[in-house]
Amino acid sequence: MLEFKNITKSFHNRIILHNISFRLENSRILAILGPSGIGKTTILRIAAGTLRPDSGEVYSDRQRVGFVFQEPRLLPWRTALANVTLVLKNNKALSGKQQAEKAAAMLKRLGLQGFAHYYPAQLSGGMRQRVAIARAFVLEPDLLLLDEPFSGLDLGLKSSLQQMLLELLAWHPADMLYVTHEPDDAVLLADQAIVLAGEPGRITAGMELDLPREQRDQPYLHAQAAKLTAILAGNQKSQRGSQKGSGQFS
Amino acid sequence: MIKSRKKRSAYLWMALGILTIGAGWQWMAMLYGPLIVPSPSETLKAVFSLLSSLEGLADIYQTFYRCLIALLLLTITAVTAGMLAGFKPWLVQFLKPLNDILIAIPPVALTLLVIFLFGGGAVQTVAVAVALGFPLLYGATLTAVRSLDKDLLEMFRAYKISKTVQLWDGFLPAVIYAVLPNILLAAGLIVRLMVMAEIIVGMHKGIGPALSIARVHMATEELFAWLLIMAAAVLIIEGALLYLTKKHLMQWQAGR
Repeated sequence: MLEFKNITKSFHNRIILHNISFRLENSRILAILGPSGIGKTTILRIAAGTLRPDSGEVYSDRQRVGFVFQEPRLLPWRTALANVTLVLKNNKALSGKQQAEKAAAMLKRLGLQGFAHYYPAQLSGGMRQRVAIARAFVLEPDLLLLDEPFSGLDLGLKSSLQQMLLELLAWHPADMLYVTHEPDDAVLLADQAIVLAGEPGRITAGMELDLPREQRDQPYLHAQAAKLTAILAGNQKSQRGSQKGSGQFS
Repeated sequence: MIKSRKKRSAYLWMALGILTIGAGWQWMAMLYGPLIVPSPSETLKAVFSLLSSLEGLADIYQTFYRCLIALLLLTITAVTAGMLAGFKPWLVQFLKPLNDILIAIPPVALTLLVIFLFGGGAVQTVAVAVALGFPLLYGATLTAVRSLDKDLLEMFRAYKISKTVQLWDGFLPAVIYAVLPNILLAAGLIVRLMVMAEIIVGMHKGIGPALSIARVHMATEELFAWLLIMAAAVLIIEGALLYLTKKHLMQWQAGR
């Protein structure tokens, strides 16, 4: 379980996030939507523990955290295998050989078995992102943080990576915070969604996607995506208006 | 196809450059006579004679052995200092006066100062080369640490990667790869500085003393031969290091 309670964060005396509260239950996926610069990534950084909030509290019983960034963020001088093994090096229970075997198995699961000894520069953009996903899943994470990991990829590649992600989650369920600005992506993957808007960023709307993912057909996905799009469009319109109040979602 | 044509054209221009120098040299030799400027053929004969004598080879060995020690010491001290300074801003300020002095002071003056303070000897020649090469590698390392990819540092923090793993898998390779071209430059610089230091310190063995003896004996063809050997050696060392660096680096930089 992960819970944000009244989180506020500012940078250089400018408040970015104001009074953010939400709760992510076990093995659920929460999509965070909103325009660029609203503070979506800041929420992930706070959840990962790389940023401290100015006020408010974060409750988390999650020990192993996997983070898939917008860019793959691989070490260019290490092979795909070494990049995945990197995050296992803290695990003293595994020998070096076991770590490498585990990393190789994860790369295989993502269809990269023939590319384990390739350097990131020798791989395509989609392959690099798959290595980054393998690095996150090899930890068998309790909490997964995804920061628009499919942006910049073409539609076919994005769709196949989303499918791969769902298969990985079926194999290893984890709580997931998924930052995106695409309503279509959110309704495909998430169980719940929150929308950030305003300046400073705050939660203005929340939405539950009750239907199990495997039962979601195209009409359902279109209808839910349209709802989210309408909320986002409404937020943009009211951006010029007053910015009072704060949203809470659980 | 286009690449190989470009390469061939580059080699052709280089060969033309060498031929022009050779022609100019030959003209000077004819103008001034062999006592002042020996001809290229006489110099090449002297080169082969030096390279086939045990004494000549011993001189080359002595100088390059000292250069190797100096390069190793320089790399360890300057890269370590640069890395530490990159993480500890107070150390940058602490080392600034020393670094500025080493940049400003002429190499000859530093060599004379070292002789005055510590006397002559092989250790002193190595120390001079290390001290004079320090600002180049220290500055390059400092810049490399300062320009470390912030995104990778955030990735390390997000995955709670231990400091040791961060050092070995992140910082060291990033810094070494960024500093390698400067190590290459330092290698050439050290050979030049070493020969100068050997002459001023008054060593008995090495290219520096051999040059001195040739000058005293007015053996101009030998003097020119040593200069030719030195230039060729610097070019070979730089070329070999560049080849090794490129061969290794290009593996992970391929496709960039």
